[in-house]
Amino acid sequence: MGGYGVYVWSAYAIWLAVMIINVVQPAIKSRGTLKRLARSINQRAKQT
Amino acid sequence: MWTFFHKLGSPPYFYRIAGRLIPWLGWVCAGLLVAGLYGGLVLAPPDYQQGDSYRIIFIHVPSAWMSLFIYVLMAVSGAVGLIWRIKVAEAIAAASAPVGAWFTFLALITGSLWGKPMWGTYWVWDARLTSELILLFLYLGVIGLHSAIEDRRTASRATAVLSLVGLVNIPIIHFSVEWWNTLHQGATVTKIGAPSIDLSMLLPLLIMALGFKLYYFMVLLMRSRVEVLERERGSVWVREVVQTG
Repeated sequence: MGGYGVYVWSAYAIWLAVMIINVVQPAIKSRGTLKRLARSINQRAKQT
Repeated sequence: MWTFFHKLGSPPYFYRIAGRLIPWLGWVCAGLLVAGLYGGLVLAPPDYQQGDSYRIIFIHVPSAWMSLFIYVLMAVSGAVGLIWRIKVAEAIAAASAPVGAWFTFLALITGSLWGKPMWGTYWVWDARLTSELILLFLYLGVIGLHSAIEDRRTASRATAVLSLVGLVNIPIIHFSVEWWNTLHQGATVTKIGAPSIDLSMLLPLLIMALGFKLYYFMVLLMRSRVEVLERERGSVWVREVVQTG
């Protein structure tokens, strides 16, 4: 990278980390939401 | 065409279609990003002035474009939600803010890592940099306001107004390099006339930009699906979705 490696690679590393975070986080959130909704719906079903 | 849009406005239909689109977007996006990275980091020659440091352009410029694009999309879908009370539009606006904030952060951080070797400083209060920083604060303001209001529909209405007001910053960012004397270089691609960049660099840049756009749409759909579920949690279709898994 002609002496600029530190800057170029750290920019790309940060970019990659952000790209991964933004896919993983909603995936985890989606799973959590589905579970939570399932629990509350089951509870309501038991009560009635 | 119109019936398709009408259907898309219905939360269960949107939820299903989005779920089917996400893997496709993911694979095409991954392919584009790999191709763009290969073209930008391996095939493209070093710049005659900036050497290899310019290679940050392949993530910096698409991030900056996305930060503007997402803001406009967020404000427009916020307005659609505000005017026609379309729940899916509200969910899309709410789901856009965090992704937009991340891309703004990326544009700023990669820009500062490019600025250090080229300008000799990580940061300078130049019109382009400052207006982009204001954009980050606008995004954070939208996110903060949205999470501060408990009722999601009220939150959507309030954030839609805020994002519409902030829309004035978008042309300021874009034209800042022309209106003021900035350290930041002028436009090389989005200007009148031919882009002043060689094809071997322009092509990977455009491929990366397209990859970024698909990436955003994928993350947007993932986030707005969750958003729609939350907003519709009392309804019959959500119960069906949750129970069938």
